[in-house]
Amino acid sequence: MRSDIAIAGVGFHVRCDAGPVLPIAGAAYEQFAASLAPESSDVEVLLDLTGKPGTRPTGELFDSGNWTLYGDEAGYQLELGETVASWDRAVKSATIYCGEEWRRERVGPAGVAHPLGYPLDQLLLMHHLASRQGVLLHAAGAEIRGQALIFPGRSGSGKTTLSANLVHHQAIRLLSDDRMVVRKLGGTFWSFGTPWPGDAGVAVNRGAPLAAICFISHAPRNGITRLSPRAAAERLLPAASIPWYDPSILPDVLDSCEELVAAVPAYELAFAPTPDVGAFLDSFVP
Amino acid sequence: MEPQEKQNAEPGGRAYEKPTLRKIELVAEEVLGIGCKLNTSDTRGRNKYCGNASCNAANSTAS
Repeated sequence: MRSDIAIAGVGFHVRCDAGPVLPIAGAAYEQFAASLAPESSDVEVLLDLTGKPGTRPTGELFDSGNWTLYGDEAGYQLELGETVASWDRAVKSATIYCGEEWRRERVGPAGVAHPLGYPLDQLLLMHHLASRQGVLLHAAGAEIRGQALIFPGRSGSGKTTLSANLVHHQAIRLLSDDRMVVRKLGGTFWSFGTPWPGDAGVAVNRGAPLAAICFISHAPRNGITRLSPRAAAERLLPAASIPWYDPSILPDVLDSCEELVAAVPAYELAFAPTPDVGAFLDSFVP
Repeated sequence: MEPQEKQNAEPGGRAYEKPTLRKIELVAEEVLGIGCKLNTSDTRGRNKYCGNASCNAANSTAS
């Protein structure tokens, strides 16, 4: 039973002492389900059905309105409704505590429902990447001839429209229409699809070396303009999932963003909402 | 060299360029796992796979 998940090469081994953990629900997660040996996973996740943690870290880092994060030298604790998740500072092990209502609804003869899901998995990954030269971006992404392009942008900037116009181009493989991970692996920046699609529903578990960062905007015709690293950084930061609330890990993430814009060329991609943008990008990528 | 230029010059005679302060707007809802952005919402406008508060509340009401 594939109860583990692997996103951007980060493996989460999930277990529960009370019984087998069922595969994570949701069509977008299908490609990201995995079966990992505990020693080969990056984050060991334990689902605890016996109660809640006895203590809470001393500092409240951020109250989002949906979840609240606490932290201290030992680790973090996230409170999301009835669910509490705690993890160590290195983000190598996590424990998820679920309340009585969760147990009543999600534990049955076949096994235990998967404890990870949005937003907990996204927040855990964000923290795991923070000290490992990686960052999660609000971006669409595609692969052309073995090279990744990412298209960061806010809601309404055109990621879904762009994705819808690229989907049928034979040389282009879409990876995501909403969230991409960028990681530095072996000295090279790679980009990966994630299980959190946008309205176009693109969630592909695949990555490629990152060839370009293309900030998108709507236009009457297609055009591409090179940006300086400084200009790229200005546009990248609002699209990056950065733990601004935690000064202990913030410098590492900002360093990664700085390295990224210094190493990978950035552009402004003005695109017309027609399938011609696929041919335009195809001719742009060597 | 004028006195003001002398005061601002780095060793070697190059004028000091004052850093420019730029304001960048950050929106937590866009990037910090707040709100439901999953596209698998059912017709009742909630997402059964989402752990966020608004979807959780809608799910509880419906069930």
